[in-house]
This record gives sequence, C-alpha cells and structure tokens, in this order.
Amino acid sequence: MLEIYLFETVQMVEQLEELLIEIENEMTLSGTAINEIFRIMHTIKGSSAMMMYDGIAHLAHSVEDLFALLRSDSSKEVDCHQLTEIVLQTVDFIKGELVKIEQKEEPDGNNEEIVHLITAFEKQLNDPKINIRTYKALIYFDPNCEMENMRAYTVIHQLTPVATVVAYTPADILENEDTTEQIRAEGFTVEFTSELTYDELLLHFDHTLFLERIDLHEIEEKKKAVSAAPVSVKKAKEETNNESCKKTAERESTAGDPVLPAMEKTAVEPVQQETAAQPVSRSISLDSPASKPEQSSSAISVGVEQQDAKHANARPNLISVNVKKMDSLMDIVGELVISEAMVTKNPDLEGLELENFTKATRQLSKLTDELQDIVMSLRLIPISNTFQKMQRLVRDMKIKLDKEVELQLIGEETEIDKNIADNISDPLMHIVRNSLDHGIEDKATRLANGKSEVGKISIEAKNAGGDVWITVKDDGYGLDKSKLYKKAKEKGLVTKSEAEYTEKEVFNFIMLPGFSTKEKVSEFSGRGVGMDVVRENISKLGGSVILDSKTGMGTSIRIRIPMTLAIIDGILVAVGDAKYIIPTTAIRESFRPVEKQIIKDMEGNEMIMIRGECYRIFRVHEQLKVDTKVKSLTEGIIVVIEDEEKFLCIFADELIGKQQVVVKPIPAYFRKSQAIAGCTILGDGSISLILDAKGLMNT
Amino acid sequence: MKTVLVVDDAAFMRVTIKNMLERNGFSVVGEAENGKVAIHKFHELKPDIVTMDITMPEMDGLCALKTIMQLDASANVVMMTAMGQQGMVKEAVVSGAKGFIVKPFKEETVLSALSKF
Repeated sequence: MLEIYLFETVQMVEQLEELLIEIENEMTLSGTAINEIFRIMHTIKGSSAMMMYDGIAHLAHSVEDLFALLRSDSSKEVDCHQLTEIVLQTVDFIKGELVKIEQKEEPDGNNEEIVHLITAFEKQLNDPKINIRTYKALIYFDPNCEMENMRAYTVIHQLTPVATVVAYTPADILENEDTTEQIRAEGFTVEFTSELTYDELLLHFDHTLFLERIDLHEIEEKKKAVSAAPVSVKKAKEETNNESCKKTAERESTAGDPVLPAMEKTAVEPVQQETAAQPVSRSISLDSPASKPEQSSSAISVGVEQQDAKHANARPNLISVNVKKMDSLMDIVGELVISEAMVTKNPDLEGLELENFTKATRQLSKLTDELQDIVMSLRLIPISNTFQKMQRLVRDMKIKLDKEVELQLIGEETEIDKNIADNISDPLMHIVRNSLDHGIEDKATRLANGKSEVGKISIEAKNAGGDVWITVKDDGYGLDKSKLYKKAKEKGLVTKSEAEYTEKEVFNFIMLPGFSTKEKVSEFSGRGVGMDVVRENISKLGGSVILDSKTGMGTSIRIRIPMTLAIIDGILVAVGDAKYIIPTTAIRESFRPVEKQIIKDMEGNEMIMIRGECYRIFRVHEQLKVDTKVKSLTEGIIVVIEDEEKFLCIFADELIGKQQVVVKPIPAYFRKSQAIAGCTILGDGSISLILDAKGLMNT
Repeated sequence: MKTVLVVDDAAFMRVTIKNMLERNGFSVVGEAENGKVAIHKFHELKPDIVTMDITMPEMDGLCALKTIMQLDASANVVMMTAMGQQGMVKEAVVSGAKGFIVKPFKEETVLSALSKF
C-alpha cells in the first residue's frame, strides 16, 4: 500500500516538476497545464490524506485551491515566475517528506511558510490592483535598541501576514551584521504590496517595538519598476521579468476580452475530461484563444483533441509493476535458459541423430531467446527521467550562483536498466553540480577569457555495444594540472615529481578519496563527498569513469556502464575439470603463446610480451588452486582482458566456446574472492564461476 | 493596568525588571525561573505581556515561547537577549515573538518596548 503510494506520488511530483520548468521556460501558463497541475495536486491530496500524511495533504490542498482559482477565471494576470517558484517549493517539500516516509521516519516538515506564500499569491490574484497597493516605507529605529538588522527582520516577518514584501534595503540583513550600522545611519527601506489601507498599515507598524519613525508612501503601480530599479541590480532584473510576463498576460486577456469567457470555457472543458481519462497525457501548450479570435470555439476544442491524441500516441499506456515481480520473472527466464541448455546439450543425446528433436529444440531456442530479449527490455526505461532531474538542478543553481548556463540533453530516449537508472542519478547530479559550481566560470571571467557569457553543459547518453555511455561535458575552466598536483602533494597522495606525471594521471587524483580542490565548501558541491564517491557508485554498477580535461577549455566526464547486469555474454574456458566464464566485454584477444614471448623478471614472475608490451600472467590453476595437466604456457591458451586501460593475461587450459550466462551472486556464506564476480549454472548442470575483470587486476 | 509575567533564571534580573515595571504602572503578576514554570504560570495567570529570557536551565525561552504561542496565538512575548544571539533572535521572531530587548538594557528601553502593548 505504502509502496504504491510512494511510487505514484514520486511519479506525479516528477511530472509536475517537468511541467513547471516548461512553464517557466515559455513564460506562459496554458489551460492544459493548469488542469494538469490541478489534477496532480488533487490526486496527491487524496492519497496523502488516506495515508494520514496531513502535512502533504494540506499543502497539496492549498495548491489545488490556487489552481482551481486560476482555472475558474482565466482572465487573471499571472506572474509565471512567482507561480512556478511557489509550486516548485511545494514540490521540494513533498519530495522531502516522501524521502522521510521511505526511510520510515515521521513526515513532520513544516509547510506553514509555503502555505502562507500560496495564500498571499491567491490574495494577489483575487484582488486586482484596485485593492492591492504598493507601499514603500522608510523606517528608523530607536538609537539605543541594538541589533538593528534583527529589528528589520522582525519588521519583515511581521509584515508577511498582511502584506507581500517585494524588496528591502539593505537586502542582506540576516547574513551581514554590518547592516546594523547602515540601518542606523540610513534607515531601513521596505517595499511591499498590501490590501490594507494607509491608516491600517500605520496602525500595524505602531505595534513594532523600538520603531522611532516611519515614512510610509503609496507608490503607483506604473512607477513600480522604476522605483525598484535602484534597490539592487538583481531585484530590478527580476522585476522586469515579472513585468514582461504580466504584460503578455495582460495583452492576451484584453485582446480577446469580449469573446474570451465563453470560448475559454468550451475549450477547456473537453481537455479536462480527457486528462481525467488519460492520466499519462502531458501538457500541451494550448494557444490562448485570444490569439485566434476568428476561429469558432468548436474548432479550437477539436484542435486540442487532435493534439491530445497525438500526445497519447507518443506516450503509450503504461502499467506499473512491482520490481520484485520483475526480478523473479528475470530469474525464471534465467533458469529457463539454463534448462534449455540442459535439454539440448544433454549428454544422453550424444552421438544420436534425432532430426525431429533437433528441429524442435531449434524452435525452443528461438523462443527462449526472444523471451529473454523481451524480459530484458521490460526492465529498460528511458533515461529522460534522470535527465529531467538535472534540468531542475541546473535551474536552481543558475539562480543561486548567478551564472548563465545552457543545458543540452542528448539521447534522452536511450534506455537503461531500471536498477542502473536508480543508481546513476546521484553520481550524475554530483558531476553536474561540480560542473556548474567549479567548472563554469562566472560571467565576467568568461567574457574576459573570450568565451560567451552563457556557459554550456551537455549531457549525452548513448548505447554502444553492451554498454551505456553517459557523457557530461562543460566548457568551463577545466582542470589545472599544477594546481591539482600541489593539492595532491599536500594530501600526501603523490609518489613522483610533477614532471613525471602525465596530465591524465594528475587529473585522476580528483577521484581519490578525500580530495577536493575547492578551498571553500559551497552550498551545492563539495559537501565532503567527491568524485571518489561518484567513481565508487559507478563501479558498483560494474561501470567505469573516464575523465578528460583541457585547462581553460572545459572538462568531459564519460561514464561507461554495462547495459544490464543479470545476463552477460561470456567465453567459457576450461582449467582442469573446472570451467570458468570470462565476460566478453572485458576480452581483447586470445592466443596460444610461443616460447619466445614468455619472459621472466628477476623475481621469477612470468610475463608475456605482445607487440612490444609486457603483460602480467594470471595462472588460473595456481591462483584458484585447481588441478590440471596443462602447466606449460605453450600448451594452454592466453586470454587478454582489459579494465580501465589496464591489461592482464589469463592462462587457462583451453577455450570451450561462447555462452550467454545468467549471473547469480555467490551466497554470502562462501568466502568471497576478488577474482570471482559470481557464478552460473551451465547446460550440463555444473556450476561455473565467472571471473571478475576488475577484481583480477588487483590480485 | 497591564499585567506582566517576568521569566529569567537570574533572581537579580527578575527583581530588576519587576522594579522597573512596577515603578511605571505595570503590574508584575508572576515570575518564573525557567521555561517550564513560565508555561504553567502563563496558563494560570494569562498575563498581557511576557518578558522571556532565552538561555535558561530545564527549558529555554525559545521552547517556552513556542508552547505559549500554541496556547495563545495572540500572546505578547518579548524576548530578552544578549548581544550577538542573532540565530536565536531569528528563531524567536519566526516563532511569533513580538520583539526583543537587548541586554544590558536601560529602564526607558524596556518601557518604550512594553508600552506598545
């Protein structure tokens, strides 16, 4: 029950987030979007109330109310920026609570602040400018009162129930205690909108402790942008954004005024029904009816239907299935593959000529192959959900860090295993955070370095062979070899002089535990976890991280992950009576060595020379203690494997052939060997161990 | 006459505040030496104003403030704080304190603050 609740709510919240970012980018709020958000909030409210998560239910209810209001009267002017900000805060709150629930904690977050914002926003909507007035107050406190910055904060806090604070100077009263002096000398200016009258406001301020003098002015709406301009550059910019958004809304609402109410109704209603019937349909940006006033209302709604139908095609019907069921299906198919091999390669059949049997088994093989493919594809989900999270991250960081960044997503439709998708998003977020925080320079530096003011980050996903590659690239400052070397030296990580290290080796330092070059820990990146954790997480998935950087030009981080972990292609080799599987992805070549290729170093370690390079030899029979008659290298076979640009030669008796195997973990009660990744059951029922390329490198 | 509840763990401080107030037409109806006692007394006496020290044993002033605001959202609580306790002050304001007075204070400061209620 709880599981379904969590699953559904998380999905809806993600959908909502996607929708909001779309709205913010386009700065228009379509009727469909309103309906969609309304529906999502309504559902979340209902199910949260059922589960007795009152905090979430209450908040969802407030947002639902807000959108009900927007829906009922589309002529209202909406400040898109403010609206998305509020709903995004709601999204964050709900997400936080869901995490708590998942970890079996009490979802006890305080939603008051957001609810407050919502009511304020509603008020603002409800009362067009006639009632809401903008005021500017200049406040002086009693000279002996001390801590003027906190007095100012008190003023702001106590204003919030009756007014919406637009801006105040000095702006950094909480962070900067020096503002005390400034307020003492120049007073504290606050600009706000309120429905209260001038006299009511004076009465309100009268209750403020230590307030010595207040100059309260009413500002006319039109002058607002002008008067706000000197406050601070950032504020002024926001203001103009809001203003332009308002203006578009205004234009739309006035242009279509006479026809609008009726048309809007007819156009909106069918959409609403459709969204109810088709829960996965996404928002379509419904052109404001005002923009095509010559069309009849029925034509518009038909248009919407068509668009909607098109959308429904793009997003097929989905059913959600418990992952555990998927896993057991996968297991059973795995067993089936094994049983099939047991039947078709049964030792009893040896030497018999069975024409019909062979035909039948061929058919069986074909079907099991197909079944296996489908089961594998069931677990695959597009990576776009993971990418979506990056978009939100970049949006938030852009605002906080005041950097201009363009995020490019390539290959969103690439499909990856659900398990990998769940585990890739944290490392990916960390990399993107790093890029934005440490990689991309601030605007001034970028311009000074002859780059465009807008930084670029691209995230690309693609399939290649049995692997998924995810590349995060930025055009920021890149890594600095000498800086990194210095840092590594301080941390005692270096063993050679700087000149002896290649650039790549030095760059790879950042993936060592406890390494962080940024002196100051910032809010987003550098919270004690670094690239080492990223690397560790990726290698848990069986993947690897490759780092490239050019100082001044940018950094690219490539992640390679095997597409699926459960069934792999392998080469079967024999050592004595035992059979081992070597994953095909790790194998570079195999050959039977000749005497002159084999060399021994001073300590008697055997090496093999291939095309002028020396490689270490791993004798399976020695290392894994198996009896075999083949002890001379020239009688057996050498298989060269590679992992992260390191090579190793595995020595076995002979190659048996290619085989697809189902990886089973080795039960915990066996002592784990680094060289073994897991085991599998072969066609004849015997157990074969799977060699671990990564682990072997460390033996 | 406005009634006041004085909360402070130092008896000296309580007496000082009490004398200041009673000289100027307030009626100090109760005193409390920690947050717990303060909540009890508030419930019992329903004073017009509470002066609340922040750092106290047993239960601190912030905790007491929050409980009192739950009991009566319109309660007038003024915090008494030492210089530099910015974080605490912020929390108090967010929790509903009507304002704060910085220690050490002069008589006229206290009066100017409390006369607003």
